[in-house]
Amino acid sequence: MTNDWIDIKNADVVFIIGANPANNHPASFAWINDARNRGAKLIVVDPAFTRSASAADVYAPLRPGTDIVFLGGIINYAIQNKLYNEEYVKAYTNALTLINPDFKGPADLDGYFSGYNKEKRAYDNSTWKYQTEKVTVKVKEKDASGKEVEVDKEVSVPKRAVNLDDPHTVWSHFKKHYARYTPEMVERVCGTPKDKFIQVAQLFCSTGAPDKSGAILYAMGQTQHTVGSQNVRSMAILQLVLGNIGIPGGGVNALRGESNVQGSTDQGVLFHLLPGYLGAPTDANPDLKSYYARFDTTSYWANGPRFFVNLMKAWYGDVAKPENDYCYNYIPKSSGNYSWISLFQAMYAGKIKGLFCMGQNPAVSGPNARMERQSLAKLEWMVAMDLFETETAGFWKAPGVDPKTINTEVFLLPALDAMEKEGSIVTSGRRIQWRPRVAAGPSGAHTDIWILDRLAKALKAAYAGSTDAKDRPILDLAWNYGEDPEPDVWLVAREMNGYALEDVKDAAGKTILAKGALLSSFGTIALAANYDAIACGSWIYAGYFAPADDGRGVWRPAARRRGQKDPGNLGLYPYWGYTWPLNRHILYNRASARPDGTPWAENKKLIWWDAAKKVWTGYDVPDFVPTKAPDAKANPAGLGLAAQSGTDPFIMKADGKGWLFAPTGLTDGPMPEHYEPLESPIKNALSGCQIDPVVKLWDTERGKSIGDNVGTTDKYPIICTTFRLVEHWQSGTMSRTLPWLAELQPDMFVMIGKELAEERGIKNGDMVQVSSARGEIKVVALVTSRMRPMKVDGKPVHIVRMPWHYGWQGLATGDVANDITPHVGDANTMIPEYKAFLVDVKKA
Amino acid sequence: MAKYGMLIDETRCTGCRGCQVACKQWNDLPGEETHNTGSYTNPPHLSAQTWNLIEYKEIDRGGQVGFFFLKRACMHCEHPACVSVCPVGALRKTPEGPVVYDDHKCIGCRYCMAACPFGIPKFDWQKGLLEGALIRKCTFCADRLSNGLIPACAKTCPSKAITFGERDQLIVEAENRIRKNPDKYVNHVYGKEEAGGTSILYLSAVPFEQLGLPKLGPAPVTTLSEQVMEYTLPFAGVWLATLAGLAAVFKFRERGAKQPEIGPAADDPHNKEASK
Amino acid sequence: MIKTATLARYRVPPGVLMLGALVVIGVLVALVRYLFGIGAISNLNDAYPWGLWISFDLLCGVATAAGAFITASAVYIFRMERFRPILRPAILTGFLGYLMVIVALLVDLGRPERIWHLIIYWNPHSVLFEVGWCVMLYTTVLALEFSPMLFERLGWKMPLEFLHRITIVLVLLGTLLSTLHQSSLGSMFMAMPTKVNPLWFSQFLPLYFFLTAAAVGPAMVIVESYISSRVFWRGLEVDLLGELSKAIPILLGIYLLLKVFDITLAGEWGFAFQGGMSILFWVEILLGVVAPIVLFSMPSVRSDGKRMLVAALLVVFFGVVLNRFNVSLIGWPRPANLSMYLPNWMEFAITIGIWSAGIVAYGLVAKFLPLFAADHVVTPAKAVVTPEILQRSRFLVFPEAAWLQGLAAIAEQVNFDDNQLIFRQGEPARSLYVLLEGSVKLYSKDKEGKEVHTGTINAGEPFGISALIEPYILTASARTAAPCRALKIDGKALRDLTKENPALGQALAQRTAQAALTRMHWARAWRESM
Repeated sequence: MTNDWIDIKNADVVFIIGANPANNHPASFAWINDARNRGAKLIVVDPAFTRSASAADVYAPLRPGTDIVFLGGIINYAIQNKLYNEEYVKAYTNALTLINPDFKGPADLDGYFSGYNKEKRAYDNSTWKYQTEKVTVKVKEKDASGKEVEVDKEVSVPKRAVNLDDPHTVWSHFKKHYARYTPEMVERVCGTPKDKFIQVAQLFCSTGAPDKSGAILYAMGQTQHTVGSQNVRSMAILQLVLGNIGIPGGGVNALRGESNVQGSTDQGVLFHLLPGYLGAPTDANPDLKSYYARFDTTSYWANGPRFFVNLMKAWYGDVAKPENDYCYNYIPKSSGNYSWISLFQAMYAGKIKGLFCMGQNPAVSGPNARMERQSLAKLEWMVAMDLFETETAGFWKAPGVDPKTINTEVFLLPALDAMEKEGSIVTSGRRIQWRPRVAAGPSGAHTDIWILDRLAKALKAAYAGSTDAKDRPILDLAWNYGEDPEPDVWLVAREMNGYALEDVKDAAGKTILAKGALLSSFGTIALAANYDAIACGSWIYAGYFAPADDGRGVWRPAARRRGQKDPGNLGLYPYWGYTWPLNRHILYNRASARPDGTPWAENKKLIWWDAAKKVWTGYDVPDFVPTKAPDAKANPAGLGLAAQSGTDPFIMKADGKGWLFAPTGLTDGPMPEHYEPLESPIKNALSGCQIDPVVKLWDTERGKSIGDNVGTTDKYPIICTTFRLVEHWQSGTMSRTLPWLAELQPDMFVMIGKELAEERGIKNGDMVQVSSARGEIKVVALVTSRMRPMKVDGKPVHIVRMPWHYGWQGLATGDVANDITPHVGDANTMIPEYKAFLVDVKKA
Repeated sequence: MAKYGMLIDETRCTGCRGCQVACKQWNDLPGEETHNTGSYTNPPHLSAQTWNLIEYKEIDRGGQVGFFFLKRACMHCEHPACVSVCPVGALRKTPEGPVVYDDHKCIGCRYCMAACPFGIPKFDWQKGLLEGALIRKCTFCADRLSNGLIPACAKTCPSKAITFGERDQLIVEAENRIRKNPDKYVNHVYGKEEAGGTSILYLSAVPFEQLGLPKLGPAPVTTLSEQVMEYTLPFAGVWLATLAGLAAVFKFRERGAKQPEIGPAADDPHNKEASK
Repeated sequence: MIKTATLARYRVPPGVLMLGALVVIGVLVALVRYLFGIGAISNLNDAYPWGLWISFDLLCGVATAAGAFITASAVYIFRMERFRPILRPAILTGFLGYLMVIVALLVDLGRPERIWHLIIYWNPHSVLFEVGWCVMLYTTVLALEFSPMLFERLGWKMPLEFLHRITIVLVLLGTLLSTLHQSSLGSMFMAMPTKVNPLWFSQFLPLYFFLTAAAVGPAMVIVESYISSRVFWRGLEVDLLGELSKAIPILLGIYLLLKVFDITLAGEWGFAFQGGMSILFWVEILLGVVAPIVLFSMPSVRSDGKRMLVAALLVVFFGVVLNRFNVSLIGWPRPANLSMYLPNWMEFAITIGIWSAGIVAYGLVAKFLPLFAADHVVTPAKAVVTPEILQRSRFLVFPEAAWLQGLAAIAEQVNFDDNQLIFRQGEPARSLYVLLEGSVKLYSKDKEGKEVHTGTINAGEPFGISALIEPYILTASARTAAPCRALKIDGKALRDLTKENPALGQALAQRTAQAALTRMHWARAWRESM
């Protein structure tokens, strides 16, 4: 979330697309309701008439997998009807930046961007780059004698136009690109009636006015597609165009699916990240220098190398020294794609021998789960660390499986639940809250930290005395979180927060952090002359455990605060817990003020420039250099934020601008373009390119019943999408074993519209068979008016919907929905395409 | 003492069932074994083990489906039928609002179940003499109220659809909400007057009958039966006197009349003399 | 041989065996209920908290037991002494009926062990509170009204004397309590305006319940008299019953008028022409109310046992049973997601078990206590009859020892007090009597229906000879004129014996004819002397 849960109440229009917060994020509705009570409108766009839709002022259906068309349609609507916030677009986005004249987009290349390589199924993005120009600036340099002199230096900077419609501006490409996303196209591709779409577009574009803000809420309905990243980009672009980023009641808000998934992402559980969103080293970065080169030098990321060093100091302590590149060589370099699907493909191919599953249940949650269970069967060993014997821990006794045929040695480590241990939980709004242990777990079960502590110590003991260089990363690991009976979680928190190993001094030699003291801000790292005297496990968390005022003069670790003061009544509650980064609640909040530093509107005041005090002030912590005036000029030769001007709110971007056009960072195009899901009932109406051209396709066991098969409409004419229930939690490991929850949703089911049910002779409550190219499952039919057939590209299409929580273990059981989902993922992140695939439904 | 109530704003409810689970948790009620029969409503109805239930309703709103969630639990009437009809006074309306139940008095006659116009009290059908079958229903968390806590369902409601407070103020609040958003709400606070008023008040976007709440007049349903009970004792007196008078009159009229020769049999010992 | 014959005579009839089996089944089902809950044996559910047991055992049970207070008040308050012969059966029916209601409640109540809570925890607003008290008190009153039969049988004079003195108080109390709770059973449903079907819901419900109960009282007396006349070989008091039934059209007439008035006033006639309930409404009104009014208004019906039975059954089944079900069960709104209630076999087993127990209890009382006017005295101990005793009467002196032994095996010796009725004219002649000691007077009805003395039996003479003459109906009533001892020979057994032994039959027929002839002569002489 760029904003926060409570901030939703400040919105004038709440736009839910690809999410069902009424169901999956019930707490959000307190704030949505508060907004509505203020007069705000709620838009819900979803294939099904969900519980969220039932509360909406405007509900529009759309076909799963067509969000880019729908959102693109709104963007186009805003452009055509001049509903965008022009001042915002010009000042805060890269709309005026000029693009390489060789750039061509899908409008010119039938769905492709320039630079596509068909063999490699990949883009060369050199034509997507900004045009640059050389400027000469005076910089102070030390000459040979050590004297400081001023010299001219030539620096290349992105070239910007004055008018939006100048040729080769981002905006002109952008306009041309989106011109194809007309209301008619939306109706044709998404199946949304044109008038409904226009109603949505009109309502949401009303937030382009400076005194209005619109919040977009999304979840897995946006991300679990082969074009998931571009879906999210579409929303971000729409919000930039309408000037809704950085503003109270605005933002692009990912409603995270688990209570602490935000925290685990922050800690770098994703395969391509180290803690704090530092990129994970790859084969392309054989040494520290090449790794450092990955960080922008003209954004706040210029501090990236410092953060990396702090991380290595936290991990390796004194062993990490400048001389050994801070143990950079201890960090494994990834040599390819380590995403979920790739891992299971590798397991299936026998390349991976062992698996350690911590609180995960791939036997239920993985795409083409039957195949993934067969992957598990090819392992030599597997450890499952969980609260119960999950389907994964017991994959060898799945229905229809003969345990004798499986040779995998399985270990089950009983773990403790979140309530049974102390620690922090991070909300989608990045708010870190420390939670005490409130219940005793069953005997024999242990906290994750206890298990990992034992494991680390056992590994160290196992390698003790080794002189082999490859064992150094384990032997040198600084591992000191206390002894039995339980490692001290506060010590872990201290390391994540960061502390001084030695006195930390600034450039002037003044001590800014005494030895042993906790970091209260990552600003200290940026300021420090001897930054390698700091150990910090996660720079973005710097300060979260340092003593802080709870608004009543009581000081305690920031994440443990429960102060309820709310300056500005915006619902920021700055004294409650700690919101990373730096207790900022609304990211990019420099954009909440006009370029001149005054608020866009009195009712949207968040931070503003206090000309008298020469400081940014307001209700939130400025996401900006606090003393940088709005009229401050950029120093193109400067390092980090010095290279950005007083009107560059997006400080994590190299040019300080919001990117309508992404010159780097995405594999499948600088602007979102619609491609059909892998399995789609129609031909792509926008271009001749059917699916995302860079999506990785597997063909493992193709043709076999569980293989990577692609279904076609002749056999599988119905679109299926998966969803979650409020009553169950993810793969149901916890919820399906609780009687109070099992009674609420006892059986696996599929939601079928009345029209389809009638066509297929299915009655409410019947058992039906849902089949796809990967296999079939038997489930209860829930016949409802909440699912309606839609007209797509001129032909009627039915949509069905299945929850994916069920498995064969626990009290509430049922067939595994993911047994029939495809093994394909997003072109950028590899998140599986759970939300749009083809099935057939008939009476069992 | 303040008289409490709860305002349930159906337009804010998302049907998350947090209240349903919180109720079971606080009251330590077991989960029921259920099945999906094509509806989200589960368990399918209120029972001795389920005192608070969200009912899911698909309502056609002019071609567009509407999906509504009705929270069903005891209404804690101002003049509760269950309290009125319970022959042993096991049910009681407390001054704070809750209708509470004394499980030491109950004889299990189930008149309360039959009389409740909302169909709330439920019975332990599966309990024998040893376990002791009793009437079960929502208590308004009277035990929590007496400890300064608010009811578990209101406490847990994430979307703030349930507002706990003093009944009078809640009525004001409810009417305010209607006034502010006349398009959003049906212009009626259900429970303000129904069956003599209830502690639980509802606001809704659709007519309450469509949600499944009974249409009730402003009089408590037991008005007539209580009137009858008031007249019973005087009537009994008058009637006894009348009967005694009639007996005396007929006895007098009969004096001197001939006994039938064979007439009364031996149940009247005096008959022996009479027939001689 | 004698022994075998005696045993055969005391064999438990198969009907009683069957009833006993039904009682046992009921008890077993009740056991399951007490162990595993009401849900284990019934289809009752949260939408139908009350089912068969309340609608039938309680509501119909109490209503159909109304015969007791109706008859008692007729005899004691309105001094209609002519109804006295049917008083005791009516009281017994009432008493057993209420006991059955209580037994049914002990199954139906969730906490039967707390039924006494009604006594200590009061809620004067509750109709059921009043009903509970009335039923408890009235059952006590009925027990007291019933107890003379027991005390007579035991020969306890003191309590008899006491009870006789308070009879009028008991009857007044009984009538009051009956009025209250018969009507209150209706008031109970006034607390459920949203559940009881509008065709039945009314502010007059208490009056309706009372009127229909008052009407079903006589109807039940008719039904029960008819049945017991068949089962116990008693005569049917057609004239008495005809008299009693005159009340029915009046009570039902008032009820019908009130109902028409009520529905018209409430403007609810619309409901009478829509849906399934309207059919039940018309069945109830036409068959249960209108038809009985018409039938019982006709003298030809009131003077015929079978016709009265049919009309009475209409009142019972359509006027009351159907009505109570309509009010308390069938007319209730169907629950949206709970199944419609239909009683299961175990619920019926409970009800049938209770009714079987009631019937057996009635039979036992009829057999061992002075229930019917005709057998208020039964010999305490049946002395063994020997051929020697037989030969004390000339009527039974036969030369063949085998004949005497055969007769002795089916004869018993009975004693009568002075002025006691032995049998009544018009009843089936079940036994042949031979007077050993004392004197018996015979009476017959004359043209006006008045009992007239038509003869005297002296020691050694037979009476009740109709037991040997088809159609085996007594042509006179017999009353002792002094303490008597007699031989009683079972008529059917005697006829069987004569079939086996035609010679004995011939001899007996000859002597009977002689006795009849003598009696005819005597009667003529008596008539002439008038």
